[in-house]
Amino acid sequence: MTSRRLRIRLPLLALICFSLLPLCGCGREISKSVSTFDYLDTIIRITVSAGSESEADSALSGCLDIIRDYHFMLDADGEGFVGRLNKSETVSLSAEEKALLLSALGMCAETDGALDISLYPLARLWDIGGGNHVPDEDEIRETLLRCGYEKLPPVTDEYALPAGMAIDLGAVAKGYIADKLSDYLNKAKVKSALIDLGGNIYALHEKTGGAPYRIAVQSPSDPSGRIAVVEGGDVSVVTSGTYQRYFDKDGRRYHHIFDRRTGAPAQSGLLSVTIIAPSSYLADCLSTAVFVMGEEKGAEYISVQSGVSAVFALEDGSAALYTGGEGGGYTVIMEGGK
Amino acid sequence: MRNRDYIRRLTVYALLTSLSMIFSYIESAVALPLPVPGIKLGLANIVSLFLLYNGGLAGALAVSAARCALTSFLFGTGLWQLAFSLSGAVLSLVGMYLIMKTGRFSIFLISMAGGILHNAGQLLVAFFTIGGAAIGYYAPVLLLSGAVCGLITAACARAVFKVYKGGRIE
Amino acid sequence: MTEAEKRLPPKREIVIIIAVLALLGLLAAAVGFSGGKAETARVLVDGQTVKLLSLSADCEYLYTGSEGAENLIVVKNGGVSVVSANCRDGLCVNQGAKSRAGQSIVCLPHKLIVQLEGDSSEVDAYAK
Repeated sequence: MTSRRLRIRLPLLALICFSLLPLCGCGREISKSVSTFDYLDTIIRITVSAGSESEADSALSGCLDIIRDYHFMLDADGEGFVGRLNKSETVSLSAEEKALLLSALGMCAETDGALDISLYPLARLWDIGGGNHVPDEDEIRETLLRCGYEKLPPVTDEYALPAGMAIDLGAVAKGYIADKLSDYLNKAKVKSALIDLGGNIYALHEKTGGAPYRIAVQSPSDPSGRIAVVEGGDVSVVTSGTYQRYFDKDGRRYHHIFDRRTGAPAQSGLLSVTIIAPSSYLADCLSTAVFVMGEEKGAEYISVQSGVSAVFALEDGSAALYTGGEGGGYTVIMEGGK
Repeated sequence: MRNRDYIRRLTVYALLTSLSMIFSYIESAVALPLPVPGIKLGLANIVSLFLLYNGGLAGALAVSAARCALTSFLFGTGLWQLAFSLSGAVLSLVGMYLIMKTGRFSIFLISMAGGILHNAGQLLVAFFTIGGAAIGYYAPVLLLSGAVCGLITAACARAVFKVYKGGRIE
Repeated sequence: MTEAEKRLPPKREIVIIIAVLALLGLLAAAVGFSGGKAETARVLVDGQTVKLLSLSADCEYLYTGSEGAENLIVVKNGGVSVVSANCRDGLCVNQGAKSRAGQSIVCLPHKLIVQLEGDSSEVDAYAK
């Protein structure tokens, strides 16, 4: 070929080759999921993407094992450390149990009691979803004497609760477990995963193909509708809402998120609070706490939580988004024109 | 040395560059309000075709590049728009030259291919910058319009060739 | 131009030309009529999503970008359109209202795309 022709043909060839490159990016990825009703009193669904079917299967069964173990450990009426403490036993805490208890109590203090793990006596009194009892003033007052995280003794290796008190880690359990699952899946080198523990969502990495996970925030008033979508990876979305567990009586709704100041379901003007954060444990803690705080105090609290965002669903049907500074690796897209 | 031939060529190219800029301007002034961005008649391609047949690829590329650059500076359309038009022009010229060199096709097919390639080049740039499924949605329509406009420019160029009495420029 | 080049194209070439036109035409039609009713409109600027609008409720969104770029995007009756914009060519406004999944409205000067999505805008999970 003449050098002139070469000068034209070579770049053209390069262009064609360059445009074909994207096709080489396809690696093998197998996606599998598992669902179960057996644990945590709710439906659990885990989906993983791994390099082979056996890797996916082993990751999933590893997840189920972890969930089963924590379900046992954290059951407030079971035989794990929480259940035994609630039966007034003295329990030898493992390192992890001690750390968890300390951390949870720390969150109670930080949220000034908006999150309080010691309200189990109150929960038993109201028995939402069971006896559905609306207690009177005396019952509440008496029960509140046996509640209050500040009344719990400092955490020691051999631990026991004061008489009549009881704790419940239900408000933080799902988030805690989700974080443990994501640690496990990271070590198991799965390519991507979606963890759904009864609506407590954690998205590990991005979806196959590099697209971000899309997690909808359910609308409190319409179960098939959504008020926001979170797009991102390595992020958790956790909601606390009045619609999750409640009973109606005499025209009033009594839900399961208690306010320790009143001894009754929190009346904060909110229908739900959804926290978006890289840590599912943090999101779970904050979703309860911020709900009790209400919009004003809650927004203020969120504004100093770096990398955390919150979607508030208000009683008037509107929704608001608050963010605590940069970071997070996710985008929150509100539905509608706001 | 700046001999006569050099001056002649420089003048011809300069004239053709201005001519193609005028063509560009005319077609955007009478732009049809079609719902798709990027549908243009491509009248400037008449100049490109003329150059390809009477000058060679280098001359055609030079004039097109000059036109894109000058248009971008004069009308302040920005670097991004410049990349857009350049990519379309280069891809289309190179393609047309290659097809022309095979000697087996008439100006109509060459110009149609040029029109398609011109829009294809722009679609590629759009794909790599703003991206999105929007590109796939518009691609067929844009390529089709490129083909049709290519045929129209071929007819116009032929009319010019019929009365052109000068020789080759290079 | 040689005398040979001035001739009209031979039959073989005409067939090729018509075939190419027909193919592109079919593709354009196929893409144009594909896609069901759209549910959401995603506003992307420079490839990044800046807003996701639901088409089920009429609403307005004013996009303001760098260097004073503005596009007013309106959702009405299940369709979305760019009602006004201060871009150079105003082509985005000419594109009218779109309502089918897969369609889009493009504002090249502002690097803005309003992409309509239907079932493909499904989410991977619901936080509840």
